[in-house]
Amino acid sequence: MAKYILGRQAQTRSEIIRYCVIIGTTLFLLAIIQTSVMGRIKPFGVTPDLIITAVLTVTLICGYHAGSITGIAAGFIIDALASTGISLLPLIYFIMAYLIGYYVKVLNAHGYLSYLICFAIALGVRFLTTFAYTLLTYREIDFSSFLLSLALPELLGTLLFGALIFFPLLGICVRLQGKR
Amino acid sequence: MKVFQNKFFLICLCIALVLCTVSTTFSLMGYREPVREVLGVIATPFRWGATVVTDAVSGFFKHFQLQGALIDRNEQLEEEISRLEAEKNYAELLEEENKRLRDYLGMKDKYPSFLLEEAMVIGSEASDYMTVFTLNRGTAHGISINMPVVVKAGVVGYVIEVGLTWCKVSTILEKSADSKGIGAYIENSGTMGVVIGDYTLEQQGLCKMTYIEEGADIKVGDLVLSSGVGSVYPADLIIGVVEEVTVDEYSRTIVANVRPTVDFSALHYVLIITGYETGDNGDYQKPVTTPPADQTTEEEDDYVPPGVGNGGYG
Repeated sequence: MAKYILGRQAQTRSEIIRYCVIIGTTLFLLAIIQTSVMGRIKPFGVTPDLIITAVLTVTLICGYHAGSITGIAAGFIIDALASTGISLLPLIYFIMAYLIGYYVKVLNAHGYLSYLICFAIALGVRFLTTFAYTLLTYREIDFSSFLLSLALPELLGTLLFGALIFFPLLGICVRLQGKR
Repeated sequence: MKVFQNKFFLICLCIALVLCTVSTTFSLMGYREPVREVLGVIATPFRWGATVVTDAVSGFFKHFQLQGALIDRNEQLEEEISRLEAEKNYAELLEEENKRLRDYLGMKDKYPSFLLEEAMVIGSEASDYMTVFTLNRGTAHGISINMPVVVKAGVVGYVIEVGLTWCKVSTILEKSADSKGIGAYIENSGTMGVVIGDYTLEQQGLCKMTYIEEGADIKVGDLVLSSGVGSVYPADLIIGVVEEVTVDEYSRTIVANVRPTVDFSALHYVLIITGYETGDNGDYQKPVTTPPADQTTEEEDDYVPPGVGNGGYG
């Protein structure tokens, strides 16, 4: 499994450890920010999903293997810190990272336009996740109310704050790839 | 679906499913997984720090938000104060008008036989003390010379000059060559006399009661009322209160200094008695003895002059 983390090319144990520490710490801090800071400030009245941006960035730069593993870890961390019920995020983030990363690789779709499309797909995943969680929690959903008071503000917040953290994360990931 | 058939995907899927299942199961059973527990413990100081920083930062911005809200609130309150001040001023005007009307009603109740015309003081002609002043009523309102002017507190004076929309009133303090005295009596003893102005006393806001019979019973504090004797003033109007009783050094007669009950310095509205009922037949008479030639009308001729010859007083 370790060889997948930074791609199929050979990597040293120290590189893998460095990767795990840096990405793990980043995810952990982002999870703290998401649950403690954003959960308190609640921009637009909701908590934006910063973790999904992190998973997406790792997927786009480091490949779908690294993205998938990061997705599982990120889902687990955010569930561990914030969730009290059903846990779906490791699965959702993993599948999202895997599919996006896979098709980016197959189509060789690199560049900011491709990243933007991928970000839109990630937002779609976020939307479905929120819908699923809301449905599991409340059983019934007033769709217009859900859309206006929850889903759209969340997507807007995720887009805005995701864009803010995308570039620093991009730098970290590129640096990690460069060290390879 | 080659994408889902590789080993990496299946391994990761299994891991994710196991994590989700274990987490959900533990969560539904009310337990926390050890890994979650450890993660929670590690995260606690960070979360605490993040919360403190967030609170501090949001508190900082909230300060400005609060300041903006306070400024808005201040503007609202200032507008409210302006509005309330305007309302207060209006209420004071209404209160003043209400008081005036109540006084008017009081006068109407007190003297039901009087025909009253309300008038506003629009000017004065005295420097230190208001002894002659102008009202906003004239012949157009049925006002003529010698009509008595009163307020609820008592007698003010009488009309000495009249125009179409104005008239001048001489107060009971005024002492001039042609000023009329008021036939008066002391309420307690019934002692008769004449109240007239005096040059010296005018400055003190006093007038004097003269022609008092020798040995009359007059005490300081006695109330002086109009007797109705004369041509101008009807009977039983309050004139003032005896403030001092002296003996005239020349005539050796008793003189009482009377302080009018009316505060002449605070007069804004007065009532002009344009007529009053006499006898039992309900006839009204005008308190006029010598109307100017150009103001005499047929209507006025129907009124019976109330006075006996004035003999120098009204």
